[in-house]
Amino acid sequence: MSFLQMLIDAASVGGLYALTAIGIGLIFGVIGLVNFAYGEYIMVGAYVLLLSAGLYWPFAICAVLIFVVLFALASDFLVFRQVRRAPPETLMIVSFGLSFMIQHVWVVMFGSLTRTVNFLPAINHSVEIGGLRIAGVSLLQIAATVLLTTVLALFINYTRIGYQMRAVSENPRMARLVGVNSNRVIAVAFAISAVLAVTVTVLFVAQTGSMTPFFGVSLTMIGFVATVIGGMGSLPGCALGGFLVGTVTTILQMVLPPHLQPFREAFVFTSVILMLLVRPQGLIAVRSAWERV
Amino acid sequence: MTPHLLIDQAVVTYGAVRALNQISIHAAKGETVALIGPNGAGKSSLLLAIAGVVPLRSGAMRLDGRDLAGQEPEQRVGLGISLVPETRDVFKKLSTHENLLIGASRRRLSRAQILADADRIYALFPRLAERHAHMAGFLSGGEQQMLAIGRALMACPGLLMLDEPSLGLAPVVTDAVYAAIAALRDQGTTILLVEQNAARAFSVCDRAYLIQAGQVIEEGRAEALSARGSVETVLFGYADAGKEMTQ
Repeated sequence: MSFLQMLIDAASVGGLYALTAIGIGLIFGVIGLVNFAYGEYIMVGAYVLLLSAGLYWPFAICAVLIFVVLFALASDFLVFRQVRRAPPETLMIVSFGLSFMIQHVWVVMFGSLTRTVNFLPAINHSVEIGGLRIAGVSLLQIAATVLLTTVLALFINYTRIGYQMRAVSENPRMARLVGVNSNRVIAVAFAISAVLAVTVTVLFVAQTGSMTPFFGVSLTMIGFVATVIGGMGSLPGCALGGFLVGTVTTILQMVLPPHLQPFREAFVFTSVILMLLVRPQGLIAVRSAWERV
Repeated sequence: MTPHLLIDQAVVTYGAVRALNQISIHAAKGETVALIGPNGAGKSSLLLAIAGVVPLRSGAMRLDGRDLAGQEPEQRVGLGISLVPETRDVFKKLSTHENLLIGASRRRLSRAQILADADRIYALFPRLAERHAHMAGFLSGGEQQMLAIGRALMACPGLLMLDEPSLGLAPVVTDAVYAAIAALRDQGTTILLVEQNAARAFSVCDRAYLIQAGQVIEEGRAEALSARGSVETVLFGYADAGKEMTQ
């Protein structure tokens, strides 16, 4: 496999991780919540795809989009809004609790065994570009990452809701004192993070075709690690962290001897620990618009 | 006639500390009222309670006869209450221009109307116009104060509350800020002004309350209060202190 081939693989895996990291980093930036239930937004969407198998695929994606956005808004309205002023560690524990609860409700409804769905098998076909065989899903992952991060950056920097979001992030009390409806701004942030989750769901399910009620957990862990590497709360940092973890994972996949492959994640997390020992503030120390005190 | 703002027997506590102890004040429409008193007298707590970020333990607050109980801070902005806090709290990572625009969050206006309003603020504080693209965190203290006032004005408040607007400012900047306050008063905005600099406050206000330990000690027209030496008594403990300090 050529270097270029590896680069494309790293970019596509990294893109998926970057989207997850941005979804987590956005909510953290706005309300200081490390949302471990984020993986469940990804997971419940997969089961909507399972149930809507047979639908024309754009309708299936719309169904997932509507369900997951409502699901995320409900989690904010019913759970996180109730503990809005609690300290960060309380928020984190609450999100852990919510995460476990959703997983086990899903076990009750769908069982804990792996379910499979044949969603959009066409995008797994490879295309040949200049001697490289590239899976369609890889190209989609890269394109989706570039498109969504660009749109999100424009939205945050140039729209009214965008600067309101930055204001709530910097000083929630003063934002309310100038008339910002912070609950609405936070709801928008949850909706955006849900859209990112849906993108991850669609790409992930199209690629693997399988799901369990627990598959969101490992993605959340990787996304969370990517946000820590990037510098908690910095969105460009989250994207960079995601790509970095993706790259390390892809390289390890190639260079590790087969009998060590099952321990790939251990190597990934070891490299994270090493990185944090060297640079505890993350790659991009938050002096950006998303700094939290 | 019902007063524009009526605070009736308001009590605010922080834990065991009573910041406001059954305080009652009022302001007529278009009136400029100063709240004067030493540190910790409860002036800032009163403004924060009116803005809705500090809850009342008991008592009532009315704006144009309407009970403010249960109104969230952002809703009170919609009712016309704007606060310029002592700490200014400009959004440091937003540009000067965005800080102004965000002040109009509660108003249903077209973008063109909001920009026209922002231009009016730039006319009031030309310094801000020069700095409109800068991050507010890079502005000087005086510029941040102007921006905090401008941001509050973008909400088109009927009641503007200013907490120590001259604090830490160079005299020439204080002059600019007070010129703006006088202009707003002349436009008919009701102003509630907290100041330690009593002479400054008296130069613009119609009426003043002297506040100590969360209660009103004395109330009256600015000239009457300064003639009686009440301010010095409240601020320094005895009547001639102010004169001695100026000697």
